Amino acid sequence: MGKKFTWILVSVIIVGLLSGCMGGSGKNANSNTGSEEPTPSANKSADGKYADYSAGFPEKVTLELPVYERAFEGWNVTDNYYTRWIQQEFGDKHNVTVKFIPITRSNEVTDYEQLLASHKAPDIIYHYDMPQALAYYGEGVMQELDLDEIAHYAPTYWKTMGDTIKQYGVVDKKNVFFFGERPSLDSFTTLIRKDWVEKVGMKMEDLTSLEKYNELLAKWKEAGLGAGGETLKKNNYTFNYAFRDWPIDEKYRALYSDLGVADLTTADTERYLRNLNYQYNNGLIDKEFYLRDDENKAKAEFVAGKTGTFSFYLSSNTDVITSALKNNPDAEFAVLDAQASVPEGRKPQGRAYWPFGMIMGINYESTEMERAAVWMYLEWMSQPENLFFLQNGVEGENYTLDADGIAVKNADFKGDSVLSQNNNKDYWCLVVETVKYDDPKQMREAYLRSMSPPGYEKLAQDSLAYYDKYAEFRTPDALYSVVLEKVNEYKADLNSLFQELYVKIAIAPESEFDATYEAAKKTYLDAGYQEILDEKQAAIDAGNYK
Amino acid sequence: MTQTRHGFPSRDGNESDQTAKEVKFVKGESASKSKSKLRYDPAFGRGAAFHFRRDWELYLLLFIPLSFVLVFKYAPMSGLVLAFKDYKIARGFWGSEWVGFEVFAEIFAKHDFGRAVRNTLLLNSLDLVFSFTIPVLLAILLNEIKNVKFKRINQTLLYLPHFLSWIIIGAIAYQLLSESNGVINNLIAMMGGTRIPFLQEDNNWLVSYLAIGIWQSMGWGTIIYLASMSGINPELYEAATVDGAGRWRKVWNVTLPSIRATIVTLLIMNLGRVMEGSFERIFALQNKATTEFTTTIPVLVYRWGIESGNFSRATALGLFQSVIGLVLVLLADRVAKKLGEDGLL
Repeated sequence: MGKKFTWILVSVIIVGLLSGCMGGSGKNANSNTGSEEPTPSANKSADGKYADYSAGFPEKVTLELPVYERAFEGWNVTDNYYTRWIQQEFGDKHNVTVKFIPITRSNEVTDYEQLLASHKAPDIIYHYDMPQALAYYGEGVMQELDLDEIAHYAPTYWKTMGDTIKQYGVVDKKNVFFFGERPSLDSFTTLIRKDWVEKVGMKMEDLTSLEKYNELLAKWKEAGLGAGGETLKKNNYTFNYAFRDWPIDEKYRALYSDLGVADLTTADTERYLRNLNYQYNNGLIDKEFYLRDDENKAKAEFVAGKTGTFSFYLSSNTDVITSALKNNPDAEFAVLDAQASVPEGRKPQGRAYWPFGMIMGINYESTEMERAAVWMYLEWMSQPENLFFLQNGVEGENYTLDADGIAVKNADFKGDSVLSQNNNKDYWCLVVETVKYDDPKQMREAYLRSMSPPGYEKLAQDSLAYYDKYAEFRTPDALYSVVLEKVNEYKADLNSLFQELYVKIAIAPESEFDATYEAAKKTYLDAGYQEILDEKQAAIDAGNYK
Repeated sequence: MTQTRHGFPSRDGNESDQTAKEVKFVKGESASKSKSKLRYDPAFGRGAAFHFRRDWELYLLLFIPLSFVLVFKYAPMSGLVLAFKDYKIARGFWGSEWVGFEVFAEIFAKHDFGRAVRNTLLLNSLDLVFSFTIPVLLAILLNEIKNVKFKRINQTLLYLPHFLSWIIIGAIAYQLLSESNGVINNLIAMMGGTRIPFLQEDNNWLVSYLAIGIWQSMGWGTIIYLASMSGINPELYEAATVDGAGRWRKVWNVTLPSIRATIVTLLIMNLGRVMEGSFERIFALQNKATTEFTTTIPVLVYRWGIESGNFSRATALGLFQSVIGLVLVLLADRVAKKLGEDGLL
């Protein structure tokens, strides 16, 4: 009876729904439709090419910026003192609504993919690693850039980064990427329990090679102190640098060295795995290292006094030292020399950063005005006074300036304008990777302070000293100027497969090491690694890399 | 009269009579078509507009569940076309290129595909054997409890794990069961035993996985059986008692046969899930040392779709999984009917 009517109803709903779901992308609909054409009210600049927005946009522009969500306790990344300050100082003055889109740090690619698929991605698409940035480009979600436009709207930013952008921002002969500045400084540090080292009759200076380090771990085990810290290697593969040959062969490096795809099949990795297998079977390292799949879990072991080493980015407000002291009041800490993880006769090699920090592209859906807003935002943030405020906070509250003109942090400050746990880096990483001062000496000193936990300045000094000492042994990965399709295709599968295989090899009985490793190599090559190697080899032969 | 709301009592005696009649007719229609034809039906042969005007409140009520099903169950199906396209986010849903069955061919050639299908079938078949049968047993046990208070408390405690997220269950599992820090292993070690890698050895992991799954779902699974048992005619039990049947006999000859239809229905529905399985459950309980059983179809869908952003591939895999699930349900339904059961459809 009512059937016919029900069917009519049903079809009406379906049609309605489908048109709702498919009908265009939502992103531009709300903010500024049709702003692709310069509005008549906007004044043309002198050369007439770019509209002049210096007095503010003629209509409200929504600038959507990505910000890493690192799950800091009590910190709201999208709404805090500094986001409000940015809105007030930049947004309100230029008729821009600045909206921050949180991107989970540990899951950023996933987050971006979901945002992109739902047309809600921010105007800037960024990533710290080039292969992934290229992957975004390969998906067609970044628009081609007009370098003159950047120079026009962001002259200060362009002055610092222009050359880098011209040199490294080109893919398939198109300008795609722009970058944040990366001064050569790094805070990655391995802490070691100095009291344990001395308890077993050794000195820090004795730890000059992997062999010595293993000897120390064996003594720790004998004395019942604990094991060496170890984590699950995943996502970023830099584990075998200490086992590589020196000097490096350019083409070999280009083929195998890749932050995102582990080179399971090389002799370097074999040496690394052999040592790991030895350490595991002799109980020298954390037996359950494969369960330590994020920094906090490894930290918990170190803090609890179960492991004696812990690697992380040292920063002035880290809680690892205070927490460890709570459990073990006698604990003493030192920085482990990188040489201690290097086998006798090899060099403490490491991965050098590219000469730029954040790699960014403009969302393909961003309009001309939104793009201009991005450049103006970068320009605004490049102004020393704005950057300094974002990095240090309010003078007299967060910090005081000392005689050298360096901000001295007030560690106990808990007021409104408190900085995030990594000193607001996730906001200013768009323009620079470290605290910034015009004078390099001042800058280094300031950087040191940013990584010095109160009372443990020596750790920061030692860490930076080792960093300088081994500078010559750091090499960057090759930069390909073509999209590597196979890398994008197999990266996620190989990432997962590598973790599975290397753990299997590491925890195999020593007698079965060779058989397990051989089988793993074959599985890995068959699962796509061979195709990646072939593709890279072709790119190398064609000279498409730097 | 037209203004009187249909089905609501009205002050006017005539009108309310009329309305009551109509209610009856409507009821009659839904109960049995042949019956309604025999009666006088004032609505017979009239158009859709008439029915809508007369029963619009009912249609309005129907609209809510109907739109729910359409929005959340049918509309997303249009996304299945992605499985036949080389989907690029920037080119959009319709702009992407059609590639036919190419994506499927790619999937079937993948290193992990065979393993994922095997593991999915293995884990879910084992789940079907254990997680499906244990709620039946548990329901029978609960049904035999005569003290209402004790029964209620037990039921509540058994339901609770169902409301915990798998992530939390996973964290608890590692706190309790991990080899070097787990509470249970610490107890074993304290009593002089050797530590057991409950979650850190492939076969043990499988057992732990199943056991945790049973623990999580068994209480919730009893609800439908208990409901069905409460509908059993007590006279059957009385007659059995008179015939001299003990408790076991009554369970075997009265309770079980009475809930057989429910068991079969649930079994058929569960068979449809043999190709699915929970992603969170694996994700929360896995670790990198026991990967033999942890690559399953949902895990691949996540890795390809979300991690690599290859939505076409993930969609194709999901479609493959659903089609197999549908075939299984239809087959099971056929078999059940052959065996003299009612089946689902």
